[in-house]
Parts: sequence; C-alpha cells; structure tokens
Amino acid sequence: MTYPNDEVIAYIHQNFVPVKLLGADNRELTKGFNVRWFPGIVVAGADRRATHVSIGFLPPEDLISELDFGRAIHAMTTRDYELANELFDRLASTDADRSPEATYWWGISRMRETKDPGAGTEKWKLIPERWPATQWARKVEYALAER
Amino acid sequence: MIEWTESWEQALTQSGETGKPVFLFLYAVG
Repeated sequence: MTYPNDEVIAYIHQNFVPVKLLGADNRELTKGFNVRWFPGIVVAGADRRATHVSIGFLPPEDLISELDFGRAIHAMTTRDYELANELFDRLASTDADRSPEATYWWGISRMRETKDPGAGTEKWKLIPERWPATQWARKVEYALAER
Repeated sequence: MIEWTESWEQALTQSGETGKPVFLFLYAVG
C-alpha cells in the first residue's frame, strides 16, 4: 500500500495540493484526463491541464518518481526553470522507468529556457548513452545525427 | 493521513495561489 507510507504523505503535502475524488461522481474529469481505470493519478496545473497521468497503484519509490516527473513538466510549463532543472536532473540521475523520458523533456525544457537548440541536444546525448534500448533513444537519434 | 482538499475547484484555486500543482487521486471505491 502506497498512501499510508509516511515519506509519500510528507512528499505530497510538501509539493502538491491534494484532492481525492470518486471517479463515478466525476465523469467529466475522468474523461477529460483519459482515466480509463482506477486509481487514476493526475498531476495538473491551475490552468486545468494535466502534466502527467498515471494509472494504478505504485510502490513509494516509483510513485515519487512519477510525481517528480509531473512536477518537472509543471515547472517547465510555468517557466520555473530552476525547479524544472533540479527535478529533471534528479530523474535523469536514477534508473526509474520514467528516467529516459524525463531526460528527453529536460532537453526540451533547456531549449525553452535558453532558446538554444544546442542546450537541448546536450541533454538528449545522455539518452542513448544511458538507455540505448528505449524508444527515447530512437526519438533523439535523428537530432543527434544531424550534429 | 493525507489532508485532502475538499473539491476540484478549491484545489485549482489553491494551486493558483501557491504555485504547487494539484495531485488528483481518482478512485473507484472507498
């Protein structure tokens, strides 16, 4: 069970505004966020847009990685690049399932922050080095080959 | 125990005020 975990509870309180809703009573939200099974975990901004959706229960370490990813995308979207860099760096430094995707988005975040495509490909280079067998490595292949 | 915000709209308002994203937990049964 994930939610009775003290570390997860402290992490959620520190970093989120938590809200728990019964899916059956909130069909517009479940439909809008494409939640087709429960539990559905959504990280969203005040603009009502999801930055990450995850289906199913996860052990604490995995859940925190998923939520860090949602926070990182939220930070990038709100142009809090200091926090975005910190979170993407943390995810890229681990071997979480979300790590290669997070590194892909770290590159995009760096491009947005600096307006320099080179700052993005610098991060993308980490993907084939660390996670060569993933779709994320194949996604950046073309961009890295051009340089 | 997590101290849940009472409603989706209230969570969005608090998100706007604090800058923190919303953690929405959609569940099937209590």
